Amino acid sequence: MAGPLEQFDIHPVGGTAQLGGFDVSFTNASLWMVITVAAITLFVVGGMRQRALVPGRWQSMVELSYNFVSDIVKENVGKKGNDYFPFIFSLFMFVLMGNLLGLLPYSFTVTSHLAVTFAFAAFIFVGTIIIGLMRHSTHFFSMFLPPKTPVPLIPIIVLIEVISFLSRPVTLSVRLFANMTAGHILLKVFAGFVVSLGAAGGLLSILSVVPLVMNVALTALELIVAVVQAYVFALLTSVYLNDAVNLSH
Amino acid sequence: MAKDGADDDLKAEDLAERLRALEARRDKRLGRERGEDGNDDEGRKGLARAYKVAIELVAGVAVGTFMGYWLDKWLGTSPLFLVALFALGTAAGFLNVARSTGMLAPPRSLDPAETVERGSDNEKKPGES
Repeated sequence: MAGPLEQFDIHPVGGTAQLGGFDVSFTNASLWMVITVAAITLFVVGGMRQRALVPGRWQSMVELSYNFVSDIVKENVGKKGNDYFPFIFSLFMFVLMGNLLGLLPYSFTVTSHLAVTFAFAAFIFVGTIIIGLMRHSTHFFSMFLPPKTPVPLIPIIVLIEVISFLSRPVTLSVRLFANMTAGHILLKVFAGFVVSLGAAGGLLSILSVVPLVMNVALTALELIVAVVQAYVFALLTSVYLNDAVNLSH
Repeated sequence: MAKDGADDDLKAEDLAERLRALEARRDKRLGRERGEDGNDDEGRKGLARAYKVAIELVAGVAVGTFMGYWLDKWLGTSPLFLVALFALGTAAGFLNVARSTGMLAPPRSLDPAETVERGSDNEKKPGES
């Protein structure tokens, strides 16, 4: 029987490839990322194909997602955040679709790998620094010094603020990765209980219904987690962007 | 015509009243349902919050320790920076926790002009983050 961690294995799909000493094979992770992007494109383009004034069900779903992200950006960054809306919308849709597709049987959860989530977080982190420097030049660094700090404390406070700032990409990526990984391991472990109890025979076979019921409940919970984590990811990106754009820190 | 209009108005009012009554009934039912499994929901939210706080705290400590480790390796001053930045990282971790739970508002910008500019194009209160 497959172990609970086997679902996270990465293996090449259709042969390996090398480029400059690096392994650039097209893996199952790449495949599911392509599927995620294709699903988002199908969802958004297909939903908006009619452009009805009174939207149907499908168009309504697309418009709801648009409004949802638009509200996050407006509330957290303000008018200046409009420039970054396309990025945050793409990010939200990718994380959401990746999380949801990962719940399908036999699928691969792209967001359950720290390499993927940290790549996102690092990109956002470096991006916000560049945006902050472009908009405020060196004044951007004033966010590391809270106003009215007593002079003797300045070196320590600045260091603490810098470490706190540097820990942002870590919290952003680890939160998404940990939530997805933990949930999927839990699902697999309970599914394993169903199989091993069912195979035990006799009274134990009847008991295998218990983990099965638990798995149904966990799947519902995972559905919530998938959406909530995509929301949190987009929300935190907006909050970090706000610090760079409006320098509220 | 006029009579028809009045009739429509009456119907609309009737409908609004019925809608209100229906919504009140639904809220009452949902409220009771929420009360029944409220504990479960509360537990899930508590767990999510605990996750969040733990990650914030650990991230601060980890980043500080990581920086200290590499500074020591680079400058050959082991274990000076490791110890110092571990302590500062812990402080940063607590700062993260305090900010993420809303116990501590993020500091505001020093420049008053910045605040005014921000206030004008952003309805958001500068204190929240």
